[in-house]
Amino acid sequence: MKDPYEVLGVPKTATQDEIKTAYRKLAKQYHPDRYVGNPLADLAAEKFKEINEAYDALSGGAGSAGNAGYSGATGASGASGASGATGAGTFAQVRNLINFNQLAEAEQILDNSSDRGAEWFYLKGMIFIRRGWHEQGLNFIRQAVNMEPSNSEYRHTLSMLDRQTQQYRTTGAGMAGNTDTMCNCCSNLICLDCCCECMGGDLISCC
Amino acid sequence: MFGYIRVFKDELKIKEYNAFRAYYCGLCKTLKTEYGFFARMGLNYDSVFLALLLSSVTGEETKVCAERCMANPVSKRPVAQNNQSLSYSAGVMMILAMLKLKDNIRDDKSIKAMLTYVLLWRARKRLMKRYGELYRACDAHIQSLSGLEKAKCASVDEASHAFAKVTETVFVPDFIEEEAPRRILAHMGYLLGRVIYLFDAFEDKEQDEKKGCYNPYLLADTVPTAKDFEQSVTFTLSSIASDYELLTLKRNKPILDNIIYLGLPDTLKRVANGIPVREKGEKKHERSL
Repeated sequence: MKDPYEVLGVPKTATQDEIKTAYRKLAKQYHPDRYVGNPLADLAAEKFKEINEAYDALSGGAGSAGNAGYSGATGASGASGASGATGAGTFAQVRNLINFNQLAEAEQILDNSSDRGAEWFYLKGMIFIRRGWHEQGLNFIRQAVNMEPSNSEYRHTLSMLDRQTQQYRTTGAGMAGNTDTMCNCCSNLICLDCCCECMGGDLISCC
Repeated sequence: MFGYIRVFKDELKIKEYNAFRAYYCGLCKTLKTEYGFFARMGLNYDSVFLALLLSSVTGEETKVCAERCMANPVSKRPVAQNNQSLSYSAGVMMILAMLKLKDNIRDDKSIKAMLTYVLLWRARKRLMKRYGELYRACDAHIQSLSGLEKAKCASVDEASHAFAKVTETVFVPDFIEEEAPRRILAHMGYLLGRVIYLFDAFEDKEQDEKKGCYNPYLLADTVPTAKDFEQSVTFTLSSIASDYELLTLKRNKPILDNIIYLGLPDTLKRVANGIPVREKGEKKHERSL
């Protein structure tokens, strides 16, 4: 096993709080939800596991398992994003092939299938997304959601994919030192208070 | 490649900018020593990114020296040297430049392209000796791209696929041997190629319409709006970022972070809204100094 401090990127002298912060950041980064539809999901899952193990080792076993929301997702929601086997035999086989990145075979089976229901569109969309054909992929998954709005799997996948886009934007905005922060909020309030005082009123009574 | 993968200068620290410049100048010098004077004409930011990325993955030692050059004869500038990744990226840049020239000669019978081809004759010989196999692999993908163009393919996914295959191939050099980084680089390369192709097609659509050239966006049922285009490409960029986070980077991380999270979205915004991507004096498919 790798050095847990190294995995979490913290010095050996780090406090429990620092370890926790580092763990949360990394767990968010490599969370399986961020790799839905990505053919490298297996590598992300490995990394995610490594982070959880490192955190377990450093936090004295209290463990990431108790850390709601982070570690639990490895299984069900799936590193693959196409693992919830609900369909009949053919579709289950297609899901399996997608999980092993055998996209050409999966597509062939789908194209030969006569059942063109919502699941067909969903699986076809997942194949396109994995291949990097995002335009068609997203369209097919939206189509599946429209055909069967009550299906939580399709809706969940679509919202995961949307969230990936949002997260990417947020990271960029964070790096650019976006000024829309708490500090800004406080300084705005103080300014407002000054203005009020000029006009004879008061917004923040203590200053 | 086309110079779409750029740093977002305003957010770089001076030391990061200097390191980036050292790679830029280093690539230019490598082109000159390995492929001769005229090879420098093809220098672009995409190849600099490739050199930076690959040397971060290998973690190889990079020597930086202060040197003069023709563009800046007075002051000395930092130049990265003796780097495997720089040498490989120079080769990749030459392969793509040669393929582009070949394409121009075949399609437009461009005199300018023919002349450049003649000027680069010796460079081509050297290139084929070192990277003949890689060149042929890329050439095969470009051939299938021109096949799709002739068939007036209306799917942006399908049209970009052929070009994405080229970048997928060149992003995985032999000197990176481990399985995991090879897979990551291949996928990143594919998606970056896709993005470059989409940028290029979206940026040129008015021009192509006038000239009657092939452009997948003109053949689609509806031309996407700036907002649709931005939304759809941002998803691809987010996948690139997810791939990128899986790599173990041994150096230059701040510069690469800047390119992935700030430079690429900035270029996307510009392309979507019709704001020029390149600086004044920097021609398309060429570079500035």
